[in-house]
Amino acid sequence: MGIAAAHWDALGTSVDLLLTHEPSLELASAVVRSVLEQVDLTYSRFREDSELSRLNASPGRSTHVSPLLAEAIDVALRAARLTDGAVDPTVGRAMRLVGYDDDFPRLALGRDRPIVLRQEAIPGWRGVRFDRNAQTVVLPHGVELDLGSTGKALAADLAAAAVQLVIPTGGTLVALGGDIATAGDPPPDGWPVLTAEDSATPPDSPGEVIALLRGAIATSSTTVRRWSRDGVTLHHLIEPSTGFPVRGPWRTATVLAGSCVEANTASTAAIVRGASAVEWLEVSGLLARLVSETGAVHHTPAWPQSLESAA
Amino acid sequence: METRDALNPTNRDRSVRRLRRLTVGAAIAGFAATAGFGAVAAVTHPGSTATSTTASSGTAAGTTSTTTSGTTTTTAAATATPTATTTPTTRSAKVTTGGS
Repeated sequence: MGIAAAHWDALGTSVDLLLTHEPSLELASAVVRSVLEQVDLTYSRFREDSELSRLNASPGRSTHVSPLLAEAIDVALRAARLTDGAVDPTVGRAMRLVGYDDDFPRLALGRDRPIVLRQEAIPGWRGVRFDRNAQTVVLPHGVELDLGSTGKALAADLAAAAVQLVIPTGGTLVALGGDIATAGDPPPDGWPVLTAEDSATPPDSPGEVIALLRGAIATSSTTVRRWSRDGVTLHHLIEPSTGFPVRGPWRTATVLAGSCVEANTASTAAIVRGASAVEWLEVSGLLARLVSETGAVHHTPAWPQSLESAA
Repeated sequence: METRDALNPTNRDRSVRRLRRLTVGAAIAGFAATAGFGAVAAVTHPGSTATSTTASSGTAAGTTSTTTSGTTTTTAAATATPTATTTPTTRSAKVTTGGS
């Protein structure tokens, strides 16, 4: 069985699409593009015309939102609940304050811009009033939602499921910058996935390769999406209690789960939780690979054996 | 070969229009509600023998059978990022998970 592959850039990151039903590659690519387009228009924090930007600009009043934004908010609030707030969508203002205020490829252009860092706990997800059935949301004043953590993973889940809806034959893998979702029947030996710290690592590089048959995998890392402001190096994973980029024992976490949203939620939470991450992952029944600040690799007990030995 | 997903422009455009009408969130019907941590586990290949390593690598490379039939231009709108392209390109059938 051959695997068709397509690659392009979207949402400020890379997109990989793998398909076992080779003749449908073009159609599948169009489906994924359509999904990502809607995601971008709906909950990009960097587009003034996105539905999320309009919502963030309308605190204190009930706003009816589209089904997609309702889904994204629902997923984000659920992630917050599951992680006791370690993954919190109300980090939007904190993200902006630490300088993450543009699509990432453009951030480097402003590296000399001065920045004033001020410790400020984020408002907290419990302040968001969301009615899933009515599709209405009320943001407290001072709260800006950032759905980036779970949003990209949700996009991968939705894209893979949408391809499977339109092309029910075979299997699909969608990778958005390292957040990987699958749907349908995998190749006989599974989808080969290189586990790395940077999703830009070429997939044929030496390292741990696992074969994913079903479900999803995601990685969060403080080693990428870093930027500097006025000589201060910052990254995108925010510690909710301080509003600052996390400083902890783990620099990278990779998690296997049933959906990409869950994998991403857990990998982000692991970085934020720091020393308590391993126990939390094991209690949650999740398989994980953690890389410490010194580069030491730790696997939870049931993590799959690598198909290819590390170099 | 099925005809339902034949790569003619009419079928392709109809499918994508249908997806847009449904809206993504409604179409996939609630990821948040369907799974909790551990409720649906990811499944991985055990990968415990040299045989499976070889077999998987061979499958993964897949370069001889990777199709290029989908490289014609698509009518779907380009993604919104400056680096977006409109034409898929072929590449290794292996992917990387990592921070991004």
